[in-house]
Amino acid sequence: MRPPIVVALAVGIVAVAAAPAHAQWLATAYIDNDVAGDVQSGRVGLGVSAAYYLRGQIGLELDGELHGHFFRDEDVAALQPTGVDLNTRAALAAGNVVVPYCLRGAAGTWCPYATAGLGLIHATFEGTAHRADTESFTRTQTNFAGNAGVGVIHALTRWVGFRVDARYLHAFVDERSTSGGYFKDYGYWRVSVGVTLGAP
Amino acid sequence: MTIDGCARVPSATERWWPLLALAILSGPARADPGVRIGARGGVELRGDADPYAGVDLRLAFPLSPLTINPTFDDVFDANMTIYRLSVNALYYLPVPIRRVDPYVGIGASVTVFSFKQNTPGVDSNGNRLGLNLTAGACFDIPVVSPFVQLDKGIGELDFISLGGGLVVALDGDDRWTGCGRRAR
Repeated sequence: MRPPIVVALAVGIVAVAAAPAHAQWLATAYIDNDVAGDVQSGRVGLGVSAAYYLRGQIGLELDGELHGHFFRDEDVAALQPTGVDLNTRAALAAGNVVVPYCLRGAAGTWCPYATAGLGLIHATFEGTAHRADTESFTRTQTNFAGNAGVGVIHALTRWVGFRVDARYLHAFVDERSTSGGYFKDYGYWRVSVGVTLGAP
Repeated sequence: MTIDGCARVPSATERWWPLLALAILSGPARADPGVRIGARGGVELRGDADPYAGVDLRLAFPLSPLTINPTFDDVFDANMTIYRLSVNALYYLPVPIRRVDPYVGIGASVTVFSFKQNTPGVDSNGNRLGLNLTAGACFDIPVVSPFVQLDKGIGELDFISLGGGLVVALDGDDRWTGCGRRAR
């Protein structure tokens, strides 16, 4: 084993061993719906998040989501020549701060929380030609986005639970941009339910 | 040591049978969920009345008053193929009626549909996410427990369904009734 690898391994082991005694990991796999706002509602999104909680009081969360049929058809109709079928989708990534407050009693363990963070939304506009005189195309745009919301985690067993989460996302779009297909800021509410592994 | 003086190596079966016996004979661990599984069916009212049939799973957990209820339904619609996967959280109401467990629930469903004939300008297939509201009653009868249930789906494909079914317990755990609620 080369010295740099040994050093890196040693640093990794020390870093893991030096984690605070009450820190906890929480991983969540979720399904979501954009329920209100400037994007299409009713379509399925899938996401995962991983959060690291310090003493159960504050968590740092990385969140990623894929969402099909992201924009409303009528909002992007200008991109769609006759004979082209247009589909939109989005990939979201965000880093968030989570502040939980856990309640434990006869009704089990419930951890309501508030969260806020920043990230990116990468939207794809994919046109598929259905006529010989038209051409398929793909356009993309990536925008900064902020989010804030609330949710609750309920423990079913010591390590497995579920999470219900509602958060507002707002994307900041450069209106002078010529790439992509949606040229103004947009915001929407996302509601998700998911299975959690770990404990805050 | 065997009679010919050679050390006898135990076979794999001999090495593992105590553990196997322990695993088979031991009762459910205190952290195990209560598992109820069964069949369900009914009528879905969405425009016209379409029958549906499916499976029903009820998972009860020692740390929670909620029962997690995943279901899968095939809706027999004349114009569409419809499959619906739902997960509801059920709460059994504290009603002092012997062998009757009424409940309410909330959850989410994914409905996958495909039209049997294509219509220009309309999605011929897709999926929609919706919110479920549920109310029902389960009858705690030995061996199998019947239930009746009313569901309201809220979303782009909203519906009301009235149905029922039977669930059976897959464990002998007396912490839960045949319906999957905590034993009183």
